[in-house]
Amino acid sequence: MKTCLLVLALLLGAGRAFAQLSPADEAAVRRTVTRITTNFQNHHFADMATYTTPDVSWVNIVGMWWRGRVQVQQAHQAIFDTVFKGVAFTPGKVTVRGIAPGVAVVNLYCHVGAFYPPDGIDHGTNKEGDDDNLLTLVVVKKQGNWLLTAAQNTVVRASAQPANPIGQTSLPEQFDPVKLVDRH
Amino acid sequence: MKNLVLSLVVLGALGQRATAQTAPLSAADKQAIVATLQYFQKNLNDHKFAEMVDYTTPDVTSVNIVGMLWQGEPAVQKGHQIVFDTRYKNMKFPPLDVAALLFRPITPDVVVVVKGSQPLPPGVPPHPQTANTTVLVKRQGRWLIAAFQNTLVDAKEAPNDPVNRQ
Repeated sequence: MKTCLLVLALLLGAGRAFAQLSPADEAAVRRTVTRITTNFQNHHFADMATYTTPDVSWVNIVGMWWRGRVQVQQAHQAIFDTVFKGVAFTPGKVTVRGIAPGVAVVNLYCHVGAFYPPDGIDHGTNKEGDDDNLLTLVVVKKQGNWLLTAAQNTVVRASAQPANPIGQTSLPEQFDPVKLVDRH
Repeated sequence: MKNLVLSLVVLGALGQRATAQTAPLSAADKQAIVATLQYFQKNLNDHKFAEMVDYTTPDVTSVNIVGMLWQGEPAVQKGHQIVFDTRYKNMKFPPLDVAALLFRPITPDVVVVVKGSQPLPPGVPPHPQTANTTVLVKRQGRWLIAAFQNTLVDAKEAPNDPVNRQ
């Protein structure tokens, strides 16, 4: 009877509470993030199959929407071979949280050096970058591996940050959902 | 002992759900998700963001078009309230275009909804469009927004999309 009550309590808790990641799972998710940022830095996306689901989707900083691993890999390779050729990518703060069993959401900052769209050549008026990007990554556990299944990227407009109503003008500290008051 | 074994089976099954092949989204779940998204869309126009507690998780995160990251329902609610009371005070947003959404079940309890940019119908003057990703989780039978990110679509970059050039 005690066991049944314990199980019921666990089930109810699982439905209501945050799906906290075990330390091992969080470490594994962070390793997946590192593999993504490593490819940002080395500009080689051939091994994307090792850390993405076949149906991964990606929305980039100008709203291009790539669907499926083939598109996501090819588009990254093409852009990093041209527009981002020689551009430095420096990973910043990362927050990781479990949202359901086997699913985590990551927010990742990444500093991007100056670049010149659309051809990577400085035409005098086409400088972009030298700013932070902010990504939301959805990572799912499949057969014991944490794989990227959806991503979206947005440029952090430095000029807009002083108007942030939440008052964060610098990068936030690690987000701890457990400290939130549940008003639901 | 039997109870313990049963408990382990139940917990084990819960753990397996995420790794099993994800079934297609049921019509009822899709309808419930659309209702959640429409509730959010309603708030974009009526600015009653106090209602966000009805359709977001306590730990919801939001990234807006200029890269502001709001973490947790209180911050997401406050951020929206202030921005929509000022910058977007007189802005009217169109109804949710469900046909433009892609629904991707990730697990039985998690769905990613993506809205990409759409070609404007003939005669419609150019206007800013956004692409967004919304992550929803099913908790206690309700579909709640757990993460949201919005990106301004740069229409002049569309012809440079490597996927379109192939």
